[in-house]
Amino acid sequence: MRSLALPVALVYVLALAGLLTLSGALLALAIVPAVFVAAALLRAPTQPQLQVTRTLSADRIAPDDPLTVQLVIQNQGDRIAELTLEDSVPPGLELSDGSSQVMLALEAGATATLRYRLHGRRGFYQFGAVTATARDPLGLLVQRVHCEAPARLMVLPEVVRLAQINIRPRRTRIYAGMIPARQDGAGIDFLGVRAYQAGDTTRRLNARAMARSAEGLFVNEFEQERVADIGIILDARARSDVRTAAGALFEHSVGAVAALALALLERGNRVGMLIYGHAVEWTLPGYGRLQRERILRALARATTGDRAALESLDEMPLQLFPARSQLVVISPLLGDDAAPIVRLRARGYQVLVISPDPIAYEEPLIDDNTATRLAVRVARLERNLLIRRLRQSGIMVVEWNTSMPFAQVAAVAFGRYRGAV
Amino acid sequence: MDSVGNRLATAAVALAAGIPLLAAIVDGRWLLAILAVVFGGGWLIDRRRGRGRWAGFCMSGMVAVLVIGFLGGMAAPLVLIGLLVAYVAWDLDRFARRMAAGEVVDQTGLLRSHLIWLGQVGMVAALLSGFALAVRGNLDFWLLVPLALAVFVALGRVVVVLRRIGAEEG
Repeated sequence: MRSLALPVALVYVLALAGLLTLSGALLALAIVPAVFVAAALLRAPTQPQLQVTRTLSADRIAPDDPLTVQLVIQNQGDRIAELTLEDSVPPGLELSDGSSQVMLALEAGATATLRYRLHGRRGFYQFGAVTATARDPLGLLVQRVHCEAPARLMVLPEVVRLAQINIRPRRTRIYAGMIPARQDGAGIDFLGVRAYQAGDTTRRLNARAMARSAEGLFVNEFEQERVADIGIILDARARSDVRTAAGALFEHSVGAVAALALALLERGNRVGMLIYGHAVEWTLPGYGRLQRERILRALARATTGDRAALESLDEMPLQLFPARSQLVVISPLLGDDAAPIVRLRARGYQVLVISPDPIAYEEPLIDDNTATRLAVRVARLERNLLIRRLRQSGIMVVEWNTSMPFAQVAAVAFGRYRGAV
Repeated sequence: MDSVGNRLATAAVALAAGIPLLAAIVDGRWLLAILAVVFGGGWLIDRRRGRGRWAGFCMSGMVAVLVIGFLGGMAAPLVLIGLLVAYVAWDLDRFARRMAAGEVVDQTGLLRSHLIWLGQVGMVAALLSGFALAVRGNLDFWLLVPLALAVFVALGRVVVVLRRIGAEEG
């Protein structure tokens, strides 16, 4: 319409100028734009009748993995002299090859294919309508329709494999697993020595203990290894996140949760997840590959946000985490977070805190002057005090400078962590 | 699409600026020559940046230069050619931008069919307008009033059609 406005205006202006100046030549000149307008009206496009089918090469990909989007467009109406198809690429995805817009002439009943490649960052994306714009051959008249071609895509968080993850919750489940259960039975790790009882296998006799004592026979005890209930709590409060032009600290937290959850599930544990931010999003505890998929999908959708009612970690609902189970809290930690986390410990949970360091994350990006140096120092002191308070309460805290890969930090921290209490 | 269509559009814009410029220089109308340079240059810069925001304005400016030149004594056939070239340049400019916006299926075929239709329409416009310029007759007031009425009724109908199309689009 806007394109047609100019030639129509020219016709009016030239005709008016011709009449006002009584100039037949100017009226004759008005014929030029008038012919173009008439030509456009003569071959005005009809409403496009298109059937659009969208196919994605995958419905879940890793960050920066290529995704091929294919659109097959069938013209179920009249011939379209000039058709422009524009697919709306959801924000967060970027074109890596091809174009999401195509221009073509489409005969009646003919089929065209638009193919392009995308990549993107973690998230849940919904593809919507394709905008089809039919024009007359001069491009003056336009008919536009939106053809629905829905599809969904998950860009899952990047997952690093953790070599070992030694945790020791107070309570384990009855099934055999890889977590020491603090009970004697069939296992590998030495637990202690006790007096021989009828029925004990002689293979467990401890010759050295018997040699030192004249009281009788002694056998070795081994620690049972079982699976455990583990609850992972991801802090998604916007006020605890640090966002810079390079990215967000929250993305590191998400990566750490994915790595932990997968490592724990691979070892047969029952893992649940709570994302605590603008809402409370539960992934109910479960086992195996299905649970892995559920957690990754929940993480793909995870975003930060704030809600007044959920400002403090005190409001965390914990009813789905069994009593005395292991909780892993992934949070940059705010000043007022110590008390709620200590209370978790007081309620009998074994608590492990993994804290991506927000100060180390932001410090290289701020101006280096006396005021900022002082501010960093004060913030560092406050954080150290907070972490010391948590540790004094028997909570394991893993400080994570995100410039180091999480796998490296985890290898050091969980290699030696055997559950202090 | 830095190809035939794009180069054709640039050449057409340069020609559209060149015709009024040449005519103005020959007539010694320096102000019009400067205006032609400003509008033509602006249009070419706009094309180079690939925005197309000023194309319509520059084309209208070019037409205004031609009309002012005509009222000041510029030859009517030259003005007609200038107007036609300006209009074709505007069309090619928009077409080239539409092609550059994304992928094009059968670029050559699409360009060829566009140029054929543009050529046909341009030819008809030139013939009708040229014929109208060649016809000489006295327009007295009583002939002019119904003629003006007919022109405005016709244009009014065009506007009605356009509004209906606009409503359908919306």
